[in-house]
Amino acid sequence: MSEAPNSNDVEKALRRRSRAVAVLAVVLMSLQGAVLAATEHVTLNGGRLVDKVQVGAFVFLALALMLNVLTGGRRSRKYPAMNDELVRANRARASKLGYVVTMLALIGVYVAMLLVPLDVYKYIPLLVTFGIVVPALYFSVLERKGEKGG
Amino acid sequence: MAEAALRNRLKEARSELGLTQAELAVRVSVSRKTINTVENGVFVPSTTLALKLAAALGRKVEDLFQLTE
Repeated sequence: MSEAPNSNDVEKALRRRSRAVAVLAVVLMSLQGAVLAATEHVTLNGGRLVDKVQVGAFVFLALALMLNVLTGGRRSRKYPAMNDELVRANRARASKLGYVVTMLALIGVYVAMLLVPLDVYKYIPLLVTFGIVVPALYFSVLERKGEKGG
Repeated sequence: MAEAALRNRLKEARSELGLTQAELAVRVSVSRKTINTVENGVFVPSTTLALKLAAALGRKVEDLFQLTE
């Protein structure tokens, strides 16, 4: 009798995590314009406070999303089934895709840098976003698969 | 050499015991979704999980999982 609610709690927590990852990924993407603009103005000793806050928020959000995808978040400590082997397999597939797209993006920037003058540091937020958002969205899609049935 | 496909009789074995996916999931400490994807052949479980499933259903692993050419 007590087993079913536990399973339902896990189901709800899994769905919530999948949604949260997708939402965080979209928020991170939506910050791109502001962060790219802010990056040009922020220096160690100067720059406007608003730019520093935007860059700080971007870094915090990027790290939070990456950690959420890689570790499963705090809730998975309460529910070990949220970190079972299907989740670990989905995480591995998403991480592999993230590695591939990040390397491709870096190679693309490197080639572009050889052909045209490019201030690469300005595009680092874009590369970071690419390397975090793509696997995060893929992980979210994989996690939604298999929810129906049973 | 072509890789052999894995067929499973997990759903039949579970149904015979009158268990839901959620109940079996709790018995082997995974999510219902994991049971669902194994039953549908979307996810191939590890040896550990296959052994846990067999133990939870009172079957041998080879009764639940077979290779097909």
